[in-house]
Amino acid sequence: MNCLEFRRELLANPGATGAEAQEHALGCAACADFRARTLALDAEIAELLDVPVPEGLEERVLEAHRTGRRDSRRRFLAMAASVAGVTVVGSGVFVAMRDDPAALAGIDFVIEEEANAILTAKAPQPQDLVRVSLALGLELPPQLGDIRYIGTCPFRGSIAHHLIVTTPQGKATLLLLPELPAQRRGTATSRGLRALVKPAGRGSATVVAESTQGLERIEGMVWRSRTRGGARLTASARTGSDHGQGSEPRRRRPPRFRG
Amino acid sequence: MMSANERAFEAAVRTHSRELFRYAYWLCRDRGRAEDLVQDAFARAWSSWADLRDAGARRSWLYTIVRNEFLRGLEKKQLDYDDRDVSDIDVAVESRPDIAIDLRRALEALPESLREPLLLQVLGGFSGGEIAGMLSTTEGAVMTRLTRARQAVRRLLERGLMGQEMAQ
Repeated sequence: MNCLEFRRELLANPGATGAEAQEHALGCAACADFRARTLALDAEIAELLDVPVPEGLEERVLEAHRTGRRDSRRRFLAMAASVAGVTVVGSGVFVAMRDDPAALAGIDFVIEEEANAILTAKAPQPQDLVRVSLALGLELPPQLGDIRYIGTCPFRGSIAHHLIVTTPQGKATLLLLPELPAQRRGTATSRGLRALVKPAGRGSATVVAESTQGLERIEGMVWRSRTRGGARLTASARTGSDHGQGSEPRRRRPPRFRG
Repeated sequence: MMSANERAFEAAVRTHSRELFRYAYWLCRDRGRAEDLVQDAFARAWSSWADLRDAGARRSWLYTIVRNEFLRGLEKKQLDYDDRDVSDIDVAVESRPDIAIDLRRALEALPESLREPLLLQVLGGFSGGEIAGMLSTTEGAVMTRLTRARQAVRRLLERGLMGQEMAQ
């Protein structure tokens, strides 16, 4: 058995390799290491697949079996949740805030397309990102977090400058959209993520985060007040909390990228 | 007084609902729809319950019903597969905890044709032969898809790392 055959067999079923494969691994350190990493990855996959199961699932299945109809309670709740993301009571008036379709598109992108976008992206061009953020009047200060990925990809019929940032509130995705204007700020909550779309220069930007807190933090930093046409070259070395308004940057340097 | 079939059905619901939910969830990635798939699958299973002679095949049969219910929702009878043999396997870069995209996103990005056999093997613990029976294909084709699935997950994770390193 050669290394390719070993790895092919291993990747097909890491938990049940044959005697020949075991023997190969004993004499090949690289393949033994490959096996160890494959088993570790499989353990992570197994853990991830073990998603929480809704409470009372079995009882609802049995109840549906007895009555001949599917449980409707969950359906009602799901429908109610989709119609109104948030209901605000103010001055005696109920205001239903619907999910913004453009923001929802950001969530769909993150869940369904982001990994593929990374796979098919061309080599990152940080200077393009700087140019686009300047044109949109946005900042990407180092306090935003570690930029883990940059690239470009198609999004809603336009080209998006795509960033993945690790923030204290978790991972977040930013899509800078110089050719896609937005009329107003819109938000959405779906599939465990929160998204925001907001005008920026002549275009817009979309942010998708894991929490409202994370979303608001990014919004506060990226759309920070600036002069008209303005264009701080991203990483301003602000003092203090770095959340102050109107202070000028001491020096200019490009965004920080850190692995 | 419950009949033997009723008792066996209830036992199957209690034994398999949870794993079927997880399978359904990873097919459709929607918790509400996953529960519907499980409920619909058991309803369909009950309609043929008395005909199933081999109790040992019940578990894989239930998985197959969930899958068929899922495909019915897609109005598709079959997924698109690429079963050409795998002729090159990259050596993975060092595993690092701070991967650029998380494993969940990598799994979600897998084509259904690759994710499905991986789910059945890792989540369901089915053998290549059993998966082949459930997917109406050959064991060799299943093994190829499993290899491709793990390669794709690795590549997604590695691309994330490369993205970081290039940007540094």
